[in-house]
Amino acid sequence: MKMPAMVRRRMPTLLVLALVLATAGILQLTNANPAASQSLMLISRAASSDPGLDPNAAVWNESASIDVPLTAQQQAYPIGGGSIATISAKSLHRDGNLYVRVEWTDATQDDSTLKVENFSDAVALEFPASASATVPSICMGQVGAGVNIWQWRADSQVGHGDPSERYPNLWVERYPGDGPEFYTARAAGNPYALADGGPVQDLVAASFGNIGPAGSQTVQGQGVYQAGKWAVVFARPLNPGDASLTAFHETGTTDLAFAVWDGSLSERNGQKSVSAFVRIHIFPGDAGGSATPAWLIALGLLVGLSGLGVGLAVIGTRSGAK
Amino acid sequence: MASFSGVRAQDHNLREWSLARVHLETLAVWLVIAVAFELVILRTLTRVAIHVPGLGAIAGPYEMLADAGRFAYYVATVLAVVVAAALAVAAWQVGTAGGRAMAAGIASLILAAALLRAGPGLGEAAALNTLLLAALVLVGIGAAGMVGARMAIAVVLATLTVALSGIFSVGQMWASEGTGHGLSAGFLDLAEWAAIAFAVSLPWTAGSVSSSSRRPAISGAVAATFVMVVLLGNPHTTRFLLLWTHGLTGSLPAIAYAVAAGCLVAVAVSLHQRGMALAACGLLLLVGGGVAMQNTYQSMLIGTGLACLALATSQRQARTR
Repeated sequence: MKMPAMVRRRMPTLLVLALVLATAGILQLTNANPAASQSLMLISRAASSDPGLDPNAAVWNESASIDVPLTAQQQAYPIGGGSIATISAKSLHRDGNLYVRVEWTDATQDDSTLKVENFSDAVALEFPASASATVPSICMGQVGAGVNIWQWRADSQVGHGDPSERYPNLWVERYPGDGPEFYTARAAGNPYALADGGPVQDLVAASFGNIGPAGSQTVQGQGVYQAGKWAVVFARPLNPGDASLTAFHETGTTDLAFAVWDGSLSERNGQKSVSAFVRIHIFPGDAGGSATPAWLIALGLLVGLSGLGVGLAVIGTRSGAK
Repeated sequence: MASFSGVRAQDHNLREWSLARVHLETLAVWLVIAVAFELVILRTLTRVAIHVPGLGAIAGPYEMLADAGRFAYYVATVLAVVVAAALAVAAWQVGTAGGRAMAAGIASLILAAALLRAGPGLGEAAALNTLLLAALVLVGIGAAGMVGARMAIAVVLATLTVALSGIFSVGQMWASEGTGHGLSAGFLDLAEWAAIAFAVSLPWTAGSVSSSSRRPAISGAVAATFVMVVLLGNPHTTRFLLLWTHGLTGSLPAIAYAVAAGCLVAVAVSLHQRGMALAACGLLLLVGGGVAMQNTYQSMLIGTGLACLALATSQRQARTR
């Protein structure tokens, strides 16, 4: 039976389309993305010495920083923020631990929440949980693609303090006991209420409105306020062994987003300055060697490409003139 | 203009081109369909779906739709490479300086995208992204050399948009690898202005919107009204989506984006009516690609969009000469 002429004429195109559909199906089944992200990348190099939790440790000079733009959180109520324009981030890793150092400008040091009208400066990092099948929604993740959030709070670092520091004439009726029924937040496991919880909370979420503490609190952190800037270091083992948290590897890339709260502007909860996702790439090597080879690669590529383009253009002009 | 020196070559290749154009147009149309589906479902719907109350009640159909959107993404990604390669061959066969430069640019674009996907090591990501940006600019220069003076203005504006936003991105990448300190975000503002200028210039640069039919004007008005309504009705979410899907910050007044969308759609419909489906596809692919270097797939869409626009309009010139 003869094929209709139109089908015969279109056969090459139809074959190409069939091949494309088959290839796309295979890629989807194997979850192999043929495209590569070109977004901003934070590179985590192997540190030459233990960075510890000191934001001023000299070893941080081994890491190049990236400046990530922030904007007001306008996706879910309560909306607000936007007072911090950018946050600077660095990262290192050593002995199976990941370290992230963030720094941002803040004119006021808000580290006390003893008054009800006080709010704390804070910063948070958001990563896709290991179990996420896709990049989660930037708004605290989504079902099937949860997020792991590390939040450092200035007031938690200073400690709870005693309300009488701010209210000298304060009088409190004596509690009849000190059991969990009188400290309900602590009894419920709210890490903020725990006096020895540390300044960093390890949190999980799978959409806004359902954030909660992770099963284990393994993230450490410390912040320093100097010259109108906060600098905070986060540290955590690369692999926490919990699918709801983020696992890092000695080499690999994942996504990372930032959020910053300015307490003096009453920013809390969803009222914060947020970034889009950038990538964090953990590189097995250290910072040894300069960036010169990369420049040479780029220069070589540019010169080669330009030469190729000009050469081909000349050939084209000559053949066109014949 | 390269098209003046290469007239004879263009005439020589015209018959061959008209045969190849049928296949190329078909593939480009399918690419536009896949990109549109992916843009609406994957890049837009699934990103705002978490705000839909009671989504759990329709989880099954939603999952199916999201999977269909992901499939469209994979189809578009693969098809973009196929179309880009076909465009490179077609551009080479045109034989002009612009055509050869554009072919080299597309080949370099595919090479850079492949190397980036292979997973660059430390110090190579910025270099490869610089190469990719240079390739896109080369495609733009080649494209500008292939088309008439008016259309060249549009192509240059589109290329300028990509270059400005790309220079900012690449500067940040170099800074993250320890070289330099990044560049001012003012580059992004300039890119935004260039993108709007490109779209608004189209009715003049791509030829007047057909007066024999009202369809282009009506389509443009509908698109402009839609953009205006969503930008004013839900400015926060819309601007967020604009940034995520197209790399536009949405910092200009809503009317600017509405007029730009109206002009783009009107000209695309007009081009299609005038039998220039490949040029219409080029415009729509540029829309799908956006202005920023977000991923190699979208960069490929920008490259193929520029090439479609240039090839379609340069061949139209050769035929009418």
